[in-house]
Amino acid sequence: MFKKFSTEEISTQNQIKSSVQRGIRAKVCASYPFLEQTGVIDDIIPKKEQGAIAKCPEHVQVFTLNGIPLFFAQRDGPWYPTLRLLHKYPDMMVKLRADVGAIKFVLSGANIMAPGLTSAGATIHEEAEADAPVAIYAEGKTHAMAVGLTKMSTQQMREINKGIGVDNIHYLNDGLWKNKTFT
Amino acid sequence: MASSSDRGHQAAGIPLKVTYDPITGVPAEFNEYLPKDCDEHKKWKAAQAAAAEAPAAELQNLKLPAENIEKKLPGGKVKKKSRPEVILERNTRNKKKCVTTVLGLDTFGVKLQDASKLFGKKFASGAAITKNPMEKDQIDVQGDFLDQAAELILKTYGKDKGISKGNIFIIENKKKAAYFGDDDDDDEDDIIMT
Repeated sequence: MFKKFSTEEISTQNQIKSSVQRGIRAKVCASYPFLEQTGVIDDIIPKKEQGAIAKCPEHVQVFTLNGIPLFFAQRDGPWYPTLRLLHKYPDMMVKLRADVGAIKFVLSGANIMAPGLTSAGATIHEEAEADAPVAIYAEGKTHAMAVGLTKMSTQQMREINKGIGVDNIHYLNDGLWKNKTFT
Repeated sequence: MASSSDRGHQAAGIPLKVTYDPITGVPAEFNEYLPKDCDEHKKWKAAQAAAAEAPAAELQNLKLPAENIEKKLPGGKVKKKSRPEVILERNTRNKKKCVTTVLGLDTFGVKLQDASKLFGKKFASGAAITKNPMEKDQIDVQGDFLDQAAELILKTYGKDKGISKGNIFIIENKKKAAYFGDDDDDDEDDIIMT
């Protein structure tokens, strides 16, 4: 999604009403219960501060707070955290670990094929349904390398073992990663 | 007050402090997996090469005079990078008309377009940017302006771009020799400022 992205491509950036902000916060908590359970959502989206929405090509909106992008969504889809945010709170999302061979492709934006998650080097840490946002890790590395959307459930990945397992939405060193602030 | 059992879980919620590699900006464990065509990867590779060479290179650089600094690219290829220098040449076009050529201004970061305009204006003659057979761009000024050109370069670009007398060379050989042996046949000529 952010393969080629720079702050020049942002069409508008507006502060949002608190009702909208509450709506986003609620959706984020629904997708990632960890945030609410531990209460960190108040550190990420404090109630008192006003965030902004940046509109980007392909109907992508990015929710920013104090210029720092936190979550993004396409159309009315799920809100994904930026990788920088995910690195701070790694337990917020389901983790899937792909094997070493997949790393360089993922870092160029490729989707993750099912065999890459079912092979010996890979681990499926938690089960996930289809169309669920997941964090993609790499065999032998501690930090997440991508945020993805499952195309099939983890059970199906094992059974079918062919085709795209997870869509690569946001990866390390992509356009969104390189722009730490949206000012 | 803080009696809730959640406090025990707070440890899990504390934002992890992540250190990203100062050169590439990603967690250091992914440095080697970055796509080869991206800037971060190149910077990382350059830093690696520099680190490997550092102690030996220092001694070498002290000895090496103005000429060529060999830069080893990772992968073993050797890339020659010549010290920035400006070369002035005079070629005869017709029996009495000549062309003064200025080579190597861009190695100092001078914009050739602006430089050529400047030369043309100062000398009230045509100036153009042409390409060398050695893929370097050069500025051709119609007329014989060797000394004036050298002075002009010193005056306008001396301070900004760090061009000093030692960086300007003049070729005094005959036309043919100059073309073939550009770098070898250099005569260093000190510009005497009066």
